[in-house]
Amino acid sequence: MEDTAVPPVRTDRFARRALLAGIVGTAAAAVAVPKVTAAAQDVSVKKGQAAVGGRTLDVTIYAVALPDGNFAYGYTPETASIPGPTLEMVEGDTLRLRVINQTGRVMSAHPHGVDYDIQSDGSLQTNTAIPAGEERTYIWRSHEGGMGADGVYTPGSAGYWHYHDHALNGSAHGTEGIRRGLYGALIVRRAGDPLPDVQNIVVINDANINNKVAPNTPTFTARQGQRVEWVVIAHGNSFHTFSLKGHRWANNRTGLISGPDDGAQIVDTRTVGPADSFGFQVIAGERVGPGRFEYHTHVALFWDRGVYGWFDVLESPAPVVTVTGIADGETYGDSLTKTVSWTVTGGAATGASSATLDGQPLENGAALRLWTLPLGQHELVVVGKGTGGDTTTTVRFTTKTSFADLQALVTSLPMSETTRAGLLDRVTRAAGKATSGSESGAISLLEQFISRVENQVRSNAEVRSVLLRDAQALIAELGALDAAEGGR
Amino acid sequence: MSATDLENAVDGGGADRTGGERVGRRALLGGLAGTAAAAVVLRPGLAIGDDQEDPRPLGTVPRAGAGGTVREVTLYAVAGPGNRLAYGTTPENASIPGPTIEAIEGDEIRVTLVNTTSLTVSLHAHGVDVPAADDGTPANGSVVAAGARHTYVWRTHAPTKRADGTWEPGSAGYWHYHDHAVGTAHGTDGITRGLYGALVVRRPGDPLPEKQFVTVFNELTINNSAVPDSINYSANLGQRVEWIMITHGVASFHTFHTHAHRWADNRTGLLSGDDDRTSVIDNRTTGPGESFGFQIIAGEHVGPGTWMYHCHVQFHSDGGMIGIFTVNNADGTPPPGHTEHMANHREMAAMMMSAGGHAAHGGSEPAKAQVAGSPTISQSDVPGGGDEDAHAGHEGHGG
Repeated sequence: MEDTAVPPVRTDRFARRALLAGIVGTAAAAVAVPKVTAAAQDVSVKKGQAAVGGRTLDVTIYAVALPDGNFAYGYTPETASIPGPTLEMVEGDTLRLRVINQTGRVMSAHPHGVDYDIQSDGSLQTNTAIPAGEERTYIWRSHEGGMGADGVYTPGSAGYWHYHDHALNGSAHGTEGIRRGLYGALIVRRAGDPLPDVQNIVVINDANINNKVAPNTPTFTARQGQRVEWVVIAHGNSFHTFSLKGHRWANNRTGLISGPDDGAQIVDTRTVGPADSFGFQVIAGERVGPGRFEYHTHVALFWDRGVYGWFDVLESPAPVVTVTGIADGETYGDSLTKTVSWTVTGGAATGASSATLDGQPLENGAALRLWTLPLGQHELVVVGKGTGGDTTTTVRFTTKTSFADLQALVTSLPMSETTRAGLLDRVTRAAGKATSGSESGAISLLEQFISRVENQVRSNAEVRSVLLRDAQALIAELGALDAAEGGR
Repeated sequence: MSATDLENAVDGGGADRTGGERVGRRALLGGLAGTAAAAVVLRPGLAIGDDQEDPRPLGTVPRAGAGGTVREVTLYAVAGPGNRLAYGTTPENASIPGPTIEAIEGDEIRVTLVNTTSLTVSLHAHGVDVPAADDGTPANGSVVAAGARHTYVWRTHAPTKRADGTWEPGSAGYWHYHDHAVGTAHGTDGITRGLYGALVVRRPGDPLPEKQFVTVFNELTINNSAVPDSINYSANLGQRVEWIMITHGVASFHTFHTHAHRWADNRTGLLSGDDDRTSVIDNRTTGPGESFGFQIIAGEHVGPGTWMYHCHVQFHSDGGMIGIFTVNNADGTPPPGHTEHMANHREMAAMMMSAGGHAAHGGSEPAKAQVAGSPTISQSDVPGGGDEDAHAGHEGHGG
């Protein structure tokens, strides 16, 4: 249950979820890969969001007696845990849960929230519990919301639900099974719901959390900035107020608000009674920074007796942004094409980044034709996203032209070969004049160059304007040089 | 409006459109405590709003009409054997819970309480607009002495935009009424002994149910009853069922849980659409004086069955706070396995009672009271209400 390891930063959550077929373990639970029997996912959903449902998920869990007198569900007998595996569905999915009863007693699994017919009720009264040594497959379905023909909307199945024993040792309501650990979280997501980086399951079971009392309750960890999902379930006979320090959420289905007009109450403490459940997502350390935050019942009677634990938000090193292709402070001839790319690395990098060049968005890996930029100073700003904050790197560079650049542009830009030959002649001769110290001669040839461009480069306005711009820039440069030298 | 008129109104109101289950079967069954649900004394118009337009798509469901009506009700406070007290629209039909009173925002309800008991009783309403003189408390003198009567005026209003730009909420809600005078200044004994009922205020356009269940967790009982006399309900597959849940008691909190059915945690239990982020739940914490309600389609997405509902506080459910919601087949025939499942339920209920039942938790007054329940009070096969109990269930569907 103790989990002091730093959870991995999940850079491709959707792929991971698809791989796991929607079933993920928690800090407290085992992870297994159930068999997916349905067709592939609709891949139109965005990265980091729940996929579209409609799958049939075949999952097997075992119910076992633990050496300490507790009972537990697990994907294998060896990995059984309290709480049991967190089962996840997306609205539209069907979960076929095969429960293999190795407890040596009658027991069952009864879900909240999902659709099940009476054969999957998991109660003694309906003869749907599992005798010792036997197994049973419970079928839990889910559905999307929608407007009914009668004009009344039917809610979808999405919610932070749970499952528990309803029969152990002949208890009509599973009282003993629940008390001794036969419970787990069941999450039904709506397609498009954001997926978390980290998941914490807290079951306040009368006077304990996950059948543990502090200091043995789970210590959850996350890096600052990670999206952390909490699922809170209560069991037993007692009423509690679940409270999380340093973080807060909306009191609704997801814990998230839709916008500034969403009237949902924002809370950091919520009353829960037996079999109540809710969940929410927070950003670890958001606006409060890293540190050790307590989660606990706020009912002092239980709090003082150990119904609390810790949520460690670890400091998140800033990501490192490395830009290649363009260097800060450099000057580049405008005939060049530069491939500008960058990487964002470091333990806290989310993998996301964005960049602007002179205020305009720029794609990573873009081939930048410098002649398309105005001559002069440019600013490339790359933002690398990190869980604990972003890193912004600014690269300032200059583009200029020269006789060589103008020659190269005339050589490469589209125009008729006759025009190209005439222009190359003028710019080459102008370069020669300039080299020999005759600024006025060079200017004269460049003026001829300009005249030819104006008369002959008519079909491509972009080429025409960049040639004119560069020639005029050279003239201005030569003129300034001439003036500085007092004219010759 | 006389009691007779009310009865007629009930018959004409169409709250229970299934028909055939209204015979006063329960009156024949002595010794029962609570009732599956109470009489619907007021059924506001089924027609879609006459006086105002509702922009929402209406579909085929019947909806509450416009408010603005003055509704007169007479309630009798009746003492029965076994220390029990109850409200009824006549002295003879008093029930626990009392009659469900319904209104539409804008209506005014005038309830004349006739006290046939030898105690001072009262009527205190939640949710509606009540002047101090009709508060129903000893503190302001609005109680009713033995043999006396008093007319309580409860007003309701639609949501209104105030001059300052903020909104005043409307009166609509699943509310309740109860005694506030017997035993203590807070009516503790009156409530314990059965003086409570549901009060529903609808908003014009709200969908109307086909069946209505009223479940009151009163300390460690349901409707002052407990297994083996559990409060059981039934509906046919696809029927729109309204479930009104009220909590009373001296100390206990509860979690109300339904198997296989769920609702939105808001005023109506319904979502407005895809973008409504309200939590959908099948389990809700509730404490004394709280009430909520919701509508479900019987068996929607799950089919017929002998479904449990219960308090999910484990020692409460193990102590008998459990009942059965039978979802029949659409044609009204019992669901598969019904006979056996009900037998199992009764068998386990007997085991609970032999293990102590509520007596194990201190032998509360309600537990004593229900043992000596009064047939006078336990009337009620009522329109819109649940209709069966552990004993009558099979008879009702025996065909």
